[in-house]
Amino acid sequence: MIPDWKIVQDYLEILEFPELKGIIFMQTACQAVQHQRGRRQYNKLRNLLKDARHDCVLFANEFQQSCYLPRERGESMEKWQSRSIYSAAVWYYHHCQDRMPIVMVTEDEETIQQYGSDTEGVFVVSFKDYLDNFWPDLKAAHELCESILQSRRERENESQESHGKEYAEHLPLEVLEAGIKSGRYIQGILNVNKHRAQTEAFVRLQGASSKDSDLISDILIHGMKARNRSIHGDVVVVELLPKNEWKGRTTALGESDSDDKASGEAPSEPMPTGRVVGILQKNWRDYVVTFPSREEVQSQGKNAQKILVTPWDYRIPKIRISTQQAEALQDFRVVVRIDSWESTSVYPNGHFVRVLGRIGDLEGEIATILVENSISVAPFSEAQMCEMPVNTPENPWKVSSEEERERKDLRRTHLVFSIDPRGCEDVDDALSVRALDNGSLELGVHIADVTHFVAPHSYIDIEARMRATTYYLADRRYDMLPSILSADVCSLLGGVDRYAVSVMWELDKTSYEIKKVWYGRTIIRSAYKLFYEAAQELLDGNIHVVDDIPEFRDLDEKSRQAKLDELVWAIGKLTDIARHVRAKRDRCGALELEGVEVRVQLDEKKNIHDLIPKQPLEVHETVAECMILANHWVARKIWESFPHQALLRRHPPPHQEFFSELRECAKAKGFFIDTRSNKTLADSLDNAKDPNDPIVNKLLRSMATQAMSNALYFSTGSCAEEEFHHYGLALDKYTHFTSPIRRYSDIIVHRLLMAAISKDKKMESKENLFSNKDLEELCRHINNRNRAAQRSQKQSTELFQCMYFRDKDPETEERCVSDGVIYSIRTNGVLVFIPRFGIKGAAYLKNKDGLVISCGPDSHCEWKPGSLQRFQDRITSTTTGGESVTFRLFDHVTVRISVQASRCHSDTIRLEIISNEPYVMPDTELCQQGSLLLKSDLVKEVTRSVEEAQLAQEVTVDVIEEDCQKYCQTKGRSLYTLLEEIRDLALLDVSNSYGI
Amino acid sequence: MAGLELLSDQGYRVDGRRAGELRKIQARMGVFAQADGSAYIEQGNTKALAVVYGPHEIRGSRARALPDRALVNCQYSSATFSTGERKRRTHGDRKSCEMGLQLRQTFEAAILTQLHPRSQIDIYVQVLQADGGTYAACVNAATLAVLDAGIPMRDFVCACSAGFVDGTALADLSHVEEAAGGPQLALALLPASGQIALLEMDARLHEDHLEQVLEAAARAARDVHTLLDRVVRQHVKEASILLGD
Repeated sequence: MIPDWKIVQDYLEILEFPELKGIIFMQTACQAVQHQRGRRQYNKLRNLLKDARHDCVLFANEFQQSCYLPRERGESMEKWQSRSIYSAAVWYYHHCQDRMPIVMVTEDEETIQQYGSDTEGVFVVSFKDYLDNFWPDLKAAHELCESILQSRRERENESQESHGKEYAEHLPLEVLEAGIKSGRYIQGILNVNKHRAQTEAFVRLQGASSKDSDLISDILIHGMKARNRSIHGDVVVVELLPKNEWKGRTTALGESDSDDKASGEAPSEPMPTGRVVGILQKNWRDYVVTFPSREEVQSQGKNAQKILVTPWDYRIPKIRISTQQAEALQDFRVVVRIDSWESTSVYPNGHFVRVLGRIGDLEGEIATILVENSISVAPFSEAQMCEMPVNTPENPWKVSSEEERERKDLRRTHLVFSIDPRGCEDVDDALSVRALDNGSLELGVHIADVTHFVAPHSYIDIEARMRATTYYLADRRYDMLPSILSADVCSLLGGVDRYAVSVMWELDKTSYEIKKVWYGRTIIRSAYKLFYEAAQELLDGNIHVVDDIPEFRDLDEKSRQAKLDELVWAIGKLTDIARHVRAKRDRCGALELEGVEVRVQLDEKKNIHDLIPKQPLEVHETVAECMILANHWVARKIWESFPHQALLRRHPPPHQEFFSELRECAKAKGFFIDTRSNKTLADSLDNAKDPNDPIVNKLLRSMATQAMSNALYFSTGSCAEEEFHHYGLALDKYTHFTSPIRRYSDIIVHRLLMAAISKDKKMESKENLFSNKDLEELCRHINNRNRAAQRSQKQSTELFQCMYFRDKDPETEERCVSDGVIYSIRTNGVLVFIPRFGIKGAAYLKNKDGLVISCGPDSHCEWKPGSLQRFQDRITSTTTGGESVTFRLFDHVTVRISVQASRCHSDTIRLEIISNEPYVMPDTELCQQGSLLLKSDLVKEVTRSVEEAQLAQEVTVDVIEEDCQKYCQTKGRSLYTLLEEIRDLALLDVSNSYGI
Repeated sequence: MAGLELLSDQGYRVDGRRAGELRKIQARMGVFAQADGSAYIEQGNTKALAVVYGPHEIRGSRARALPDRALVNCQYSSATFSTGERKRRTHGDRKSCEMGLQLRQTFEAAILTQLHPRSQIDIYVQVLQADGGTYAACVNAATLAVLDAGIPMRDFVCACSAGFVDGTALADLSHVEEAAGGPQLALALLPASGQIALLEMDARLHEDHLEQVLEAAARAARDVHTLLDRVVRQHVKEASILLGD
C-alpha cells in the first residue's frame, strides 16, 4: 500500500499501527511531510521506517529514472506530488511483473477520479475505503480515523471564526535563539507543580544558559497566562519579569480550590518569576484522561460534540476533544493525544486514541500507570521469537562445539554456584572461588552471556533497547527479554551447561590484594543453585539445611560430606574476601543507606509464597560486594579500551543545599549531620540513633536519600574524568555489568567488554560499537526508562494502598487508625510518616472552613476557629478560646487514614490527626510495632500476610468488585505497603539493582 | 520548515547522489583558436572556462622575471550571472584574488616551470555558473587547458571538494551542501604520485574525522582523473585524425 503525501501528513498515527505492514513511503510524500509538518512529525516517520517490525520502506522515486516526472508548467505542487506518487506506484506494479496488486491511498477526490481506473492492478482509494475494505476488524484504527477527521474539521471551522486571543503569540524561533544567546531569554524545562497545577510552574534551567550566577534557583511561572500554552515537560524559553513583580512560592499544603486563601497567607521569599515567550520543543505524549460525568456534560451545555476531558496527571491542562462516543466512554480511562493549542483557545485541542479500561478497575488503572509513564509492553512478536534459541524437552538446547573451542571451559575445573532469592528464575550471576597451585586464590564472577543470543540490531535487540529494563510493578513484572532467554537459556541454572562472561581475579592468599584479572567468555555448569537463607545457614555451620538443597538430596552419605565441605569452604572464603573488599571501600566513604530490603518470593503458580527480609544475612552483602567488584573492574577495563565511548554509571555528589532540611530535622532531635563528604555523612548517620525511637534514624536516612541526586548512565566521551565518580559506592569508576537479563545497559557493557577483549588480541572487532553521540543518546533513553520504571512501581504501590483502604469505613475500622511521625512542617499542616503502612502523607491543621485543630484534655482533637503559627521546627495552633497545641518534628501522633476518591485522577490517601498522643495499640498489635527489627517476629508477621497476599493475587485475576470484599477482610499489614516502606528507605541506586 | 536533511537515512543526498558519488563531468579541450590552450568543463551545474597563454616573454616589468623558472600567472573571475544573486564586480574582489593565488600555488607545483626560465605562463579561468566546487572545477579546467597548450607537467592536477555530514564524508559538494555551513575541504591531487598540490579547509572538523574526509576527497580526485584522462585521449584522437589521414 502506498499512501499519498496528504495521508502521510494527517494519518501517520494510523499508519503506525503494528497491524499495518508493508507500506511503501514515497520520497515525494516524505519530503512533503518534512517541509510542511516540521521535524517532529518527520522524525516520527523516520522512526517508523527504521522500526524493522513494520516492514515499511522508503522508495526514492525522484531519484529513479523511470519514476521521475518533471513538474509541468502551471501545475500545482499538490497535483505534481500526487502524479509523481501515482506514477511511481504504477512503475512498481510493473516492476513486480504485475503480480502484486498495489493500493494507493489518497484523500483527494480528484486524484481518485483521475487515476482510479487508469491502470489495472493499481487501485486508488480514499483512506476510509481502504480501512473499510482491508482492515474491517481493526476497530481501533477506525475510531482513530474518525476522531482525526473530526478534529480536523473542527480546526478548520475554528480558524474561520475569529476569537479574541487568550494567549500571547509565541515568538519566532530566530528571535528566541538570538535572545537566548544574548542572555535576554532563558531556556529551560517546564515543570508544573503537581499540587498547584493551575498557578505554579517552575522552569529548571538548562546548562549553558545559566551563566548568571544570581539565577541558581528555578524560575517561577505564575498562572496559566504566563505559562502561555506550554505543557509539563516542554523545553521553553522564558523572559524574566521585573523584580517588583516577582512572587514567592507557597509552602502551604494546598488544594487547588483554595486559591484565594493561599494568597492570603504570606508566601515565602520572592523568587525569580518569568513568563514563557516561546516553546523550543514540545514534549507531548499520550495522555490518559477521563470524560466528565453525565451531569457535568449537561452543564457544559450547548456544544455536546466538544468535550473537555480531564487528564489523569494533574500537571496537564484539560484537553478539548470532539467525539460522539462521550456517552459510551463515561466510565473509562481513555488515551488522547494533543493536536494543537491555538492562541485563541483556552484549552488545547486533541483527539481520542483508544480505551484503556474501566475507572477503578485494577487492570485499567495499571494500564493507566503504564501509559502515563510511556511504557509499552506488547507481547513479543513472532519475528522476535523466531530469533530465539529452542529449548524443548524433545529438542534440548546444547552447547555447540564451535563455541566450545572458543570459550574457556570451566565446567570441570571450577566449583561454580549461584546464590539468589528462593524461587528466582532469572539467575544472571554465579560465583566461584578456588585455591590455585601457586598458593593464591582465584575469585570468579560469572554473568549470563545474553549478548551471545541477542545480536546487535536484531529484532529482539531493538525491542530490548526500547524497553531498556524489566519493569517491576507491585504485583507483576514486564520482562525485557522473552522468558525463553531470561528464565531458561540465559539463566545460570544449576546442573546445566551455560554460556557465561566471566571476570576472574587472582588474589593474594592472605592479604586478598588483587594480583591479576582475566575477562572472557566461558562455559560453566553451576553446581548449586542456592538461596540466601541456605547459604547463610551453611556459613553459620548449620548443616541441617542440606536437606533443603535439591542437589544434595540423592547423594550417598560420604560423597555428600565431601562435597558439602567443599561448598562450605567456598562460601566461607567468599565471605572473607567480600568483607575485606567492603572494608576497603568503607575507608573511602561508601554509604550505607539501604535499610531492610524485602523480596517477594513466588512459588510455582506465581503466587506470592514468602517474604524474605534481606538485611540480617551477611550472604547478601557478600554477593552484592562481589558484583560491585566485578562492575568496578569491568568499568575500568572498558574505559581503558574505549576512553570515549564506554558506558559507565556515575552518582554525582549531592548539592549541599538539599541537605539543609535534613540538617534542620536532625538538629530538632539534637543530632548533628555532617554532609561535607560521603564518609562524614555515613558516620554521622550511624550516630544519629534515638534509642527510644528507631524510626527517627530511618526517617533521617530516607531524607538523606531524597537529598541525593540519582545515579545515571553516561558515555565517557561526554563527561570529564573527574565526574565519573560514584558517590554512594565511593568508587572512581562504576558500571552495570551483572544483570544483562534485566537491564539493557548491561548488554551494552557486555558488548563493549567483548570488543575490548578482541581489541587486546589485536583482532578486528566484529561489533560496530556506538559512537559517543549515539551512546549518549542511548544513555539518556535508558535513564528515562529507569525513572519511568521507578515511577510506575511507586504509583502501582500507591494504587494498591488505596485499594486496600478504599472500602473500609475510617470511622469504625480499627486498622484505619494508626501511629504517625511528623517529619516536616508546612504553614497549614504537617507531613506525616506512618511506619506501619509505610505511607507518607499530608495532614492539615486547618480545614477548608478555616477552622484549626485543637486538642482537648483527653488529647482528642477537634476543629475550632483559631489561627496557626509556624516556626522552624514546630507549629502551634491556637484557638480563639485560648487553648493551644503544638506539634514538633518527630512527634508521634495518632492519625486516621481514609481514601479520597477521585474520578479523574488516582485516589489519594488522606490523613487526619485525631490525637496528639502516640497511638496506643491493643496488646497484640503493640508487639508488632516493635517487631520491625526482630527477625523472628517479622517472619511470623510475614507468614500471616501471605494469606492476604495470595488473596490479593486472586483479586488481580478475578473480577475485582467481588473479591474486594475478601481482600479487605484479611488481617495484618499489606504486603504492598511493606514493599513501599522498604523502597523508601533504599538508596535508589541499589534498589535499582536488587538481586545483585 | 525543518532543517534540510543533507543525507537521508537511506544514504541519499539532496540531489539523489550517494555519499561518494561525483556529479556528471563533461569537458572539451581546444575551445578557442587564438589561445595556446583552452578547455571548458561542466561538473553538474558548475561550469568553468580556462584559457592558457604561454610560455612567452615576461610582459610588463622585466623585474618580475625569475632566473631559474617560469612565472605562473593565474587570474580568476566569475561571470556576473554565475550565482543566484547577480554580482557587480567580476574580478579583482577578495574572493577572486584568493582563488587566483590558490590556483597559482597549485599549478606552480604541477607545471615543470624550470624548463622555461625567464618566461611567463598565463592561466585565465572564468566561472560561468557556480553550483559548488568552483575551485575544483577551475583546477580541472585549467589542467586540461595547460595540457592543450602543450606545456609539460608532472602529472594531471585533479581537484575535488569534500564535506562531512552526520559522520559520513560527502564527495563533490553542491551549492546546497556548501551553504549548509558544514566543514568543507578542497583538495588538488597529483593522482599518479598521490602527492597533494593544495589542501584547503573551511570551518571546523574534528581531527578524528579528517582522515576519512581526506580519503573521500582523494578517491573523488582519482575518479576525476580517470574522466579527464578519457577526455584528453578522445581529444588527441580527434586531433590526430584531423591532422594526419
